[in-house]
Amino acid sequence: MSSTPAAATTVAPPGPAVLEAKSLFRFRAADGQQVPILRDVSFALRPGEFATIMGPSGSGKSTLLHLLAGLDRPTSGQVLLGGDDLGGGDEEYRARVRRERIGFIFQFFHLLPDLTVEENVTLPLRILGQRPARHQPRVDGLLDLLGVSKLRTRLPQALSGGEMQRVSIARALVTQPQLVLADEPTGNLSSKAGEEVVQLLRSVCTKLKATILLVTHNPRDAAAGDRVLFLHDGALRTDAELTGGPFRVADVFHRLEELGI
Amino acid sequence: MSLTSFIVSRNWASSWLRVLLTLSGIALGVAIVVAIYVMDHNTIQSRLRSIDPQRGQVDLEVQPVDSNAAVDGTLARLRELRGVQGVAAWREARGMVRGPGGELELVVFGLGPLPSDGFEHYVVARGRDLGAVDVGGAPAAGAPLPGVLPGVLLGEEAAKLLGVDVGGTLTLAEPPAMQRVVCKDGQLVPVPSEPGGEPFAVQVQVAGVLAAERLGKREQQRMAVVALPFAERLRPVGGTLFHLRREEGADLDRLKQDLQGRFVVQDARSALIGEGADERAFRNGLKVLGGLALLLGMYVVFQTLSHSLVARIRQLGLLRCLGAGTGAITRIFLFDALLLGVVGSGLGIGLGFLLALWLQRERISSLGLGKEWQTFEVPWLPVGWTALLGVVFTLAGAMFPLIRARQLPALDILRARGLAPGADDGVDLMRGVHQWMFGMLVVALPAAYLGMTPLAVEEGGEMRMVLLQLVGILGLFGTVLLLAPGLTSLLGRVLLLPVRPFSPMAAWLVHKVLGRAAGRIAASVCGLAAVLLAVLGLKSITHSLHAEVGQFAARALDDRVFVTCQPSTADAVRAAAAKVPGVLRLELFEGEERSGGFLLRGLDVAAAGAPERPLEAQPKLLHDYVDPQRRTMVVSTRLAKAKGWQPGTLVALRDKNGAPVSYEVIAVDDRAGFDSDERAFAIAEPRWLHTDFCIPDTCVTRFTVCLAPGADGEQVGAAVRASLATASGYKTGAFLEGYLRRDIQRDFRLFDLLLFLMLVLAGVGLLNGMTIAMLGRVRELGVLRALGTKRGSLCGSFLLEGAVVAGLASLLACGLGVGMAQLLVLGMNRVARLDAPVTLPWVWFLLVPVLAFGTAVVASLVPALRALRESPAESVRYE
Repeated sequence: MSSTPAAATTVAPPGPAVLEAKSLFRFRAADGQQVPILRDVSFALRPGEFATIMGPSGSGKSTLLHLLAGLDRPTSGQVLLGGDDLGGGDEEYRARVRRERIGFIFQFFHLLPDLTVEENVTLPLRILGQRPARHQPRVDGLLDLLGVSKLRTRLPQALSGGEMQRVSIARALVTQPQLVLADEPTGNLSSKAGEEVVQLLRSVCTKLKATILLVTHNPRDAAAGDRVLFLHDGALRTDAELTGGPFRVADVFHRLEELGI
Repeated sequence: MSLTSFIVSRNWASSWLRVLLTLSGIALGVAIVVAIYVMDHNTIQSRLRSIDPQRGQVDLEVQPVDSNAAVDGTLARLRELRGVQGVAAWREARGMVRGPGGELELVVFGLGPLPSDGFEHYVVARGRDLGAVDVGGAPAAGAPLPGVLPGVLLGEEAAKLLGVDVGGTLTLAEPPAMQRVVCKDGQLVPVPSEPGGEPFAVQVQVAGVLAAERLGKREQQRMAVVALPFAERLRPVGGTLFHLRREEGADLDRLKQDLQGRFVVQDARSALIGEGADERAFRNGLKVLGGLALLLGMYVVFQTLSHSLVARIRQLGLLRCLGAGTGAITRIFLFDALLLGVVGSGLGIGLGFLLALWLQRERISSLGLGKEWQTFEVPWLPVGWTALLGVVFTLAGAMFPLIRARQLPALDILRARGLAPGADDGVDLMRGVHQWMFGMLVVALPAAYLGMTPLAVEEGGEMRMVLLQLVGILGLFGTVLLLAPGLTSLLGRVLLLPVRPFSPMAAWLVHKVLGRAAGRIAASVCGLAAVLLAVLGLKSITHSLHAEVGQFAARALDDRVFVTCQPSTADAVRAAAAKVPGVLRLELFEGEERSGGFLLRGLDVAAAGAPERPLEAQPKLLHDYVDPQRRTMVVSTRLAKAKGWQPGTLVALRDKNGAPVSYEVIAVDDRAGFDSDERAFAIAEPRWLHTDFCIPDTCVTRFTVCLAPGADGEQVGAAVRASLATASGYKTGAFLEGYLRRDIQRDFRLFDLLLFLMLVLAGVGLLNGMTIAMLGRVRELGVLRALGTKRGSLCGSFLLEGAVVAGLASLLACGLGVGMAQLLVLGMNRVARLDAPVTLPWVWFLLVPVLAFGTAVVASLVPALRALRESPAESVRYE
């Protein structure tokens, strides 16, 4: 694990990118003015990469994630998923992309309270129009991998926060998406539970060869990635990117100090 | 299982309360309407079948005033009348029929033109019906028979006795001459027979044999039907009558007015089953009430579906984030609503049938209580329409949340912390819901219901005007409340002021709710106020009707005893009854005649001009009454209003010989006496009844005993009955007044039942709205509990909210109630041709708030208790 910062670059590693962000800008209207949330953000993700975006509260991390997921549209710039421009279509197109190619892990889990664990996990399959029973072995494997197999018949209100987030991860992975986006997945968990979740994501990335992008304000979570990108005031600090992870937490803190964040 | 059915099934399983409340709203609304339709349909059918099953589909039976008028010309004139769909000429005669099995004297019915289209006078069991080929013109006596024999229809028994069946040949002939009598100078005198030519006879062929129903049942099935010209050659029984059938919805009263002067309406009772003005008003009132019930049911549905958006929105936001398209979201909402609508309407139909069965068992009919209806047919068209309305408007109720769900960005939904109206983070899910509700429930639903409901509406438009005014009032307050809910909020806060010192926390919570959910509160107030207004309106009607009975009693019933007896002479009655102590005066009704389509009685001038009688102190009218050159009569108020008569009107009748006679109305007054049915009668000098209708000397079957001051009616009545051997019974004026009042109470009890059900519906709507709103505030309530708010304050806030709704609804209902009462009573008077004074039910203005508060408190208990069950720790644990 290297703690030295890599050369400042926005050039993507070799090979086709799963995700590319090109000169993303996002403004929001506030008090009659256009306030920049994201400024000229560009980066790329390779298959099987586990990247984290680190930034303090209000830096635009969640906004960036929502743009990448097609939940929001950039004011300008492009988001390419497997070469397809997410901004090239309407909401229906983006919804189709989300259900077919993206798995999303929310900070607040957002499990449906009326569905059991297994039903929550297989919900994306139903959204795709597929019968969960046809994918039972894979579902069982996911539940085992995430350690929630014994909880499959329980309702969310009977789970702890950590358990709920595991279920949320399983749900994000059930359709074997091209890309998994995690929005502060440990933000609502205890320190121990959060650490477990992050390690699980690490494990998922390795075992399932999933491409994961995690945004967080927690340096411990950021350190778990193969790459750490730093977002500050809506702009990606390309000069501060860490590559060759996972890292020590101290490395991340050190970089934050250097950046003055 | 598809995503749609999966999500909907899970929602139903987890939100069983929402589902139950929605289904109950639809089912109850549909059930009430279905029960009313089934009851009304079968009430009319049973009456029609019991009155005169032999007449078929005949609305009116008339005779021309000009007895010499040709049949064809009369038929043509009748066809020209507005609202007439079919006419037929009809004559009853007696004839001799000879066949292989023997000879038989039969009653023969002549009909024309043929075929008799649509009247269904009879049912052909075998063979064919008569047609134009069977008319032919009766051959003159002695003329050669035509090549094709004219047809005849025989009753089953007649065919058997004559030994013929379809295709057989018979001879139809005039029966041997018998002594005829005519009424001359008040006496029935024999008429010498004319020297006869050859009696009429014609060969006929049996075209068909009739089934043993309607006309085919007459004379124990010993009857025949032929073309009219043949019947005219036989021995007539009465003159030629003309049958009319109305067009659908044609105004019967206007038609009778058009006939007046040229025709005498012989029998309209079979047409008037439920079509009389007051019966029509009663039936229409029931259907309008049914419409209000359906509206309330749909209001419950709208409340549930719209407000449950709050409970489901995160689910839908998540589905959108996970990639579910708008098509999937649409299918979820619409499938959910469709399922609710279909199941609810289906339950409603079943419940409606059960309710109708109960109404039948309790002898509650759409013409009043205590009137049986034997049939149980289902009018599938209006029932089906009602169920369809239930489904369509449930789908409409889903449209608002669907449109909102599709419009909101998925991210906004997930990000928003508060989703209730006016939430600080700008996600107001319910914006526009009340405009939507207004459009659907105040405009679209009443229009759809009135458009498809078979109201017994007359062309004159009186009922329509009353309905429009009613809808206008409802629409007005619906508009104000739904489109300006801020007004509700303001008024509600005023009502809270006196409560604050006693329960500040509860009052503050309700104050917040009024600001945040003014629209929901306004809708609840609307629903409850509509029912309370209906209560006040109907009680106004019953009170006014009672007042009208009181007025009538003072004029026609007080200090009188009404006695019935076997036919007696006037002298015999006077001799027996005048001796009884307590009798001030006797008023004898000499003869009764109904051939003119109304009851005409003879009352001598002394009685007519006695104190407190119609012609009291009116010498000119008394002179007119006894004028030997003029036939005059005094009519009761009900009869005058029903017929549109006034002093000066000439009423055309036919005397016993069938000759036209005219009676002039000289006064409209109830003081002449009382008739047990409908209070509609006329009186004339007994001389005219003797002259025109040959009433015998023993013509007294009813008389009135006027009581001396202080006399006891029961004692005098009993004494008169004891003194007159032919007396069969008596009723005092007090008894009759009580009977009329009980009649009103009994008939309107049905409305009380319906209003109770609608109060339940309004309560369900209120419960619904508060429960769903509470479910959307679970976290807020949990935080309040976690911060230390007392359970009593929380519970009290719900009860107080209910009380505010009740208070506002009561104020609105009582405020509008005065105007509504005037409108309804005056409308009823116009439509039913009554003269009831507008009488406000002041007791009910006090009871209505009690009803409102009772309903609201009960409705508020469920959400209050439910709110207390939520654990504060769990509420604040996670987002």
